Amino acid sequence: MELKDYNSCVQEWADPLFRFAYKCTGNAEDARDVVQNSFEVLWQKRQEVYTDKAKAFLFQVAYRQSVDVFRKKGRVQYTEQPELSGSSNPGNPDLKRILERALAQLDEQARALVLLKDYEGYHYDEIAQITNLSETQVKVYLHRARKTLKNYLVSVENIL
Amino acid sequence: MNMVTLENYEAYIISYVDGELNAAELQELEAFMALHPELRSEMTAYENTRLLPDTSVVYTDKETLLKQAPKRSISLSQWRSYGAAAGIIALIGTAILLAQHTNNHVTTVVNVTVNKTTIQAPVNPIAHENPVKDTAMQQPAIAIVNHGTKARPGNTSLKPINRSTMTNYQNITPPSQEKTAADKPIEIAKTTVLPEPKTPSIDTVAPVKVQTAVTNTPAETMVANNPEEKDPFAWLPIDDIKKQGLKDLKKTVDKTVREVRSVTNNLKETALVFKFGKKEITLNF
Repeated sequence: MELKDYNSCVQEWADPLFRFAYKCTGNAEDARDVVQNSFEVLWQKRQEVYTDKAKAFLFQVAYRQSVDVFRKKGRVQYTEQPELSGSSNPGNPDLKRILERALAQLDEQARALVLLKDYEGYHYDEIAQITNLSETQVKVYLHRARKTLKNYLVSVENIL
Repeated sequence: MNMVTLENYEAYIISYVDGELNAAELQELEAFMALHPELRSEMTAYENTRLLPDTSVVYTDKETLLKQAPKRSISLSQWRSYGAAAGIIALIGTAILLAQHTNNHVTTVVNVTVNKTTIQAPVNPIAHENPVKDTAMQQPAIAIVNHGTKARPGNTSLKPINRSTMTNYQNITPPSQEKTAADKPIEIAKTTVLPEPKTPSIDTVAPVKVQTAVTNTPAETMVANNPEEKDPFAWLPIDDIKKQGLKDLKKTVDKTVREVRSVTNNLKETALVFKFGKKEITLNF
């Protein structure tokens, strides 16, 4: 990977990486640290990383660091983010807030898997490479996470 | 036979939400859901668990992550080093050029030596009779033409020095004690007085003497040019033509040796001092 390829990765993947880290850790400062460390590792390993694999490499580093940060600090407490509400799902802002809370019910690993699946559209085998899990484990963990999220949504709808 | 059943339909729905079903599996799920419309709400609930990227969350300082190409520049300290090296080289070159072209300095040295020689050689009666030579060596050609006459008035400025030197050296009776300093001058004294009986030939010898004074080894040239000098190759059983060739070769070698000695003698008395701030570098040759 050359210098221009690295800088292109910064322009293209800094936002998705920060988004992923932010949703994983629930903290903007921790997410910034994760992004900076991930790109620094990429720069140091640029001679070994192909450009088309740079995104997976970045998310691999970010996944490990996000999980580590989360494990050090314990379960994050998702709070209302007024400036963010309604931006991703303008048609149903209530559903977005409910999903935010539902996401907080998951453990850090399941949350990261859901984010990799829904935010980045990775397949099971790709997520397995990023998280260093088997494809079967990824499928099982993701199905379990979906059921948890669905049950939370159904329960909230019943209350509402 | 349907692969989707009431026992595994939930897994199919989740795989559908995850986008992991192939076309055949998707078709089977659609057929199954058509047969079980009561499961539609559950399927919708799973579809609602799909997260959408929050595009409003962005990393604001991407510039801090970007890398710049390394600049090819030379630091100031390196420029200083290069400048100092260039200055030293230029000064050394200038000093060498000056040493090669400044023959006056060499002439002065030779004169001092000749003065010593003339005075140090009381054993040579001719040299002793002509103390004028110490001043005559300042301008050898004229001095020898005026051989036996008084010293030129123009050289009076040098006389006190020469006389004082003379008085100092007159007390030195055995000249052989200063062997290293007196070897060459003795020869000079001999050679300078050799043409004395033949006055007409002195004019031809005198220019040569000027050259020898400059090269600081006048004796060798004088000996080589002296027709009365013994032929060093006379004993060789070879033709006269070959002997003449050997003589020419000897003259060339002698000339080269004299030039080398002249440069080395100058360099021995040359020192360069460079000052870099508080540091001082002295180069002695």
